Amino acid sequence: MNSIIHYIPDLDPIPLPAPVWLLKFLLLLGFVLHLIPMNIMLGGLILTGISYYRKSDFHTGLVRRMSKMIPVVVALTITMGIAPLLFLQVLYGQYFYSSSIILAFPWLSVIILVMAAYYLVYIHSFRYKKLSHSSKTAIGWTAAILFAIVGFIYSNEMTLMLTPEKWGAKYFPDPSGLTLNLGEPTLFFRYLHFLVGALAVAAFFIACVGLSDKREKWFSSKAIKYGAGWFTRFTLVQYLVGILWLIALPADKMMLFMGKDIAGTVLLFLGIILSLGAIMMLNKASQSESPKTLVFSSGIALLATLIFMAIMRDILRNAYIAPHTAMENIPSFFQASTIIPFIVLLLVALGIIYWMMRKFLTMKAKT
Amino acid sequence: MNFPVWDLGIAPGLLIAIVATLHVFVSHFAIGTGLFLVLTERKAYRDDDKDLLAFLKRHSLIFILFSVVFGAITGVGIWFVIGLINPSATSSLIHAFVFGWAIEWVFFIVEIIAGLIYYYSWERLERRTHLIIGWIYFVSAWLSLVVINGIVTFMLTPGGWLENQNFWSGFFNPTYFPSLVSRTFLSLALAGIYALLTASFQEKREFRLKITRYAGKWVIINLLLFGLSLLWYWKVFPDRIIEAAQGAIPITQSMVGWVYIFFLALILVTLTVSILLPRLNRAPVAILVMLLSLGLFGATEWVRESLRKPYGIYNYIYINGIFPDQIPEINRNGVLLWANWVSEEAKSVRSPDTTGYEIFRTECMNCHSLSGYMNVGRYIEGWDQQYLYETLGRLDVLRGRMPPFAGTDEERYHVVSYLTGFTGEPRDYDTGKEVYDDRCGNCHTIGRYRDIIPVTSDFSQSELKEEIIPMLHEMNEDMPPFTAGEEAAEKLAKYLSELSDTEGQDE
Ligand code: HEC
Ligand code: HEC
Repeated sequence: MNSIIHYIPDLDPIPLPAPVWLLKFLLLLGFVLHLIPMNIMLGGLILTGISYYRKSDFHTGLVRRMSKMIPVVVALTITMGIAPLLFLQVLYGQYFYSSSIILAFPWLSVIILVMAAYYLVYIHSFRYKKLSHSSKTAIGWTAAILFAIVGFIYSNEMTLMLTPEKWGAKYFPDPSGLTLNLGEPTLFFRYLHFLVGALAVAAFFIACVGLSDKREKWFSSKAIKYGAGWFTRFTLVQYLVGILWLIALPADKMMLFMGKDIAGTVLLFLGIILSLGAIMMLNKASQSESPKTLVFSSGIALLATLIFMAIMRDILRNAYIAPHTAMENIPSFFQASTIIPFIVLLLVALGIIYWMMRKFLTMKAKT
Repeated sequence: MNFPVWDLGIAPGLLIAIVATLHVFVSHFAIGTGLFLVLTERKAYRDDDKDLLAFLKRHSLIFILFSVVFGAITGVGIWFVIGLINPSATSSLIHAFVFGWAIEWVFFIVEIIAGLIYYYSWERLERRTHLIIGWIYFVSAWLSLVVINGIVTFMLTPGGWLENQNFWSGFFNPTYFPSLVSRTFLSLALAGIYALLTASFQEKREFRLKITRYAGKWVIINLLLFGLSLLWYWKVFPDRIIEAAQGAIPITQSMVGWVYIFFLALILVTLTVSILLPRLNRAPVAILVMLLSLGLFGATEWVRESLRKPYGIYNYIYINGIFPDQIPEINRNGVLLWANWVSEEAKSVRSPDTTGYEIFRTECMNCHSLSGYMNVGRYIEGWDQQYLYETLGRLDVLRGRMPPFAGTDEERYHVVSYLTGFTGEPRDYDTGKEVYDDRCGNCHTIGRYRDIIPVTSDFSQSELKEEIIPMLHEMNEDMPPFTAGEEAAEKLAKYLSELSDTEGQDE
């Protein structure tokens, strides 16, 4: 036994109640469903924050609309975050718990930071008319920064869990949990990749907000232009950040996406092509009289890009973990008596949500 | 011990207790309030009561801020905390119940979306549709309780799961139904308490009195039903758990006392300020009622948590992550070899400060801290080294309900050397009672669990001093030898024989 493997906890003796591929599928699905509102929330708060310094009617209108929507988006982010956190723990608990204990204080502070930021966006939304411009600016930015810190803590945790060779040196000198993973060479670009991605997705979302605004035509077309412009810029920056992240990875991990792993390489390639497609379609939409189809197709391309990126992230994680744990050999069985009810209930729930949303979106305006 | 142990500076249990109590409090109140809202809304429509509707609308706003925000985030918070403090037991739970949680999550999504829509659509949806959405909210919130209750009760009474590891055997365990029923009534009572609070802010006097009475009835009825269901809950507990509450575990015993006190206080105060003298229901009073209910909640949750000691999952895994059936092997080969998270230095150097500390951290710091509440130094103040060593060999017999010390004699000795740093000067006892409390009371009680009186009352004071006290460890291996010296033995013998005398006179 070498001293690196030594610290990795043993596999839990209870077998996995579903095959690894199914749990992974659910993890990835949940992650993408969490990623989308999370990006809109974080990127949206930052873009709204910037809009405060621009006094045009468009920017004021944008801030007002976003401030109403953000609390609901935060609720979705948190709700959708629960499922991937659950499946992450069941699949990678040995890694996940160990590194979160090493980072215990920052990790636990996530709860307090999220709560504070959440209440701030509610105050921002519910007291919109009563608050002064400068207090709204301050509240909005504080919430944005708190959420950005939460993201940063997550990046620390998600990188540390993959590098068990670092655990001992971090933990033993100071087991009090007051540390971060700042020595990790990929940390910065990984985080930046998420941050810029969030801005791009939020810009796209603003274009969608424009599209769905039927009452004020001038706002609608401006929002699509604004969204397209920023989506383009952020995505271009994202290419650069992505390349830097790739270079920061250890050589063998980088090579996964440069030919060594077929799936990884193809997904990276497709991701670039599709996101370029999304940029072109959205820009075209911003000049079109009837932008609906174009925005929609661009959205599909963006969604596919996000899914591919999520799968790439999983490929990367696997590459880190494979030398220590052979995921495919973890004992598992198919717990039909819970998996089937889960799927059935999920479908029923989607039906109920669909019904409620339809009622909600078609209800009469405030009197 | 598979996982690193977070040395956070305070008793970890305290952190769990705070986060869990707040979360469970808010989430129960969110369930009950769902039912309160729909039933009251229906009543308002029937009576065409505009004031009542305006009240409900405001009521639901604060409710959203509480349940959707605070409830949801503290719920995730519990996960964070138990993952940090009891990673092994959390991992077991997640492996056993991952799809239970997944199902709960499905209900949770519906609950959150329905709750938000309910709030944002007042007076904008048809009345009937609005009510249906309220019902969807309540039913899905209650269904999350139906699911999570299975997992929470499982930890205390895993039932048939221990044999077959079958999800449903663990889920519908012996305490599942009483717990579900009592939690349901408690959540309904809390909804009424919350309504008392919002009622207290109403400006119009007549209306305030009306809502106060209405909410008061709601509280009293549900509290009484909650009390009854607790009795049922009690009856299904296994003996060892009942024993714990009746004196085997000191903290549990005192928390059971608090449950009675808060329960009675809550009923009496609520009855007074809502039914008898509803005009008293102003904000400070309503907040007092709220705090009493939080106290009741804290105490019941604390009882439930402490009953489980020393296990993370009863009879399956200890709180410190050791499985009971691993103990013999660890005793043979040593915990240093067995534990994942001890440093190379602790293995090679073998000094109290590294080896002793790291073993203590691995096995004991899930419960103990080095300062504040559960500070180990407080318990062992003035102990001599031999007594400490002997006690460490019998941790599982003590009333604190600890896992046994696992490891070789040499390892136990390292921990003792480490702990000797906290004992200070050897202690002089002023009275026999002090000797008893320090040397016998950690295992025996007077008149209750492992009663000291019947086992000592047959002996005279001098017999106790000369023959019994010096021979305890030979009478029963569970007892450590008496090492406090002649003088202390004398005081103790006197105290014990007086104890038997007074007890004898009582009869
Ligand atoms: C399940 C949690 C738990 C664990 C794990 C635990 N303890 Fe304790 N311990 C307690 C409690 C609770 C008490 C105090 C009981 C009371 O209130 O009298 C206690 C008391 C003690 C005492 C004082 C005994 C007395 O009653 O006066 C010693 C010594 C002690 N613990 C040592 C240890 C050591 C050494 C370990 C690790 C091998 C350990 N404990 C692990 C919960 C725990
Ligand atoms: C580490 C725990 C522990 C401590 C400390 C302890 N006892 Fe005991 N004692 C026990 C247990 C266990 C028994 C077995 C009987 C039972 O379970 O009720 C017992 C039994 C006894 C008996 C009856 C023995 C027999 O075989 O008839 C006497 C007498 C007694 N204890 C006296 C004392 C006195 C006096 C002290 C304090 C100096 C003391 N014990 C401290 C655990 C303890």
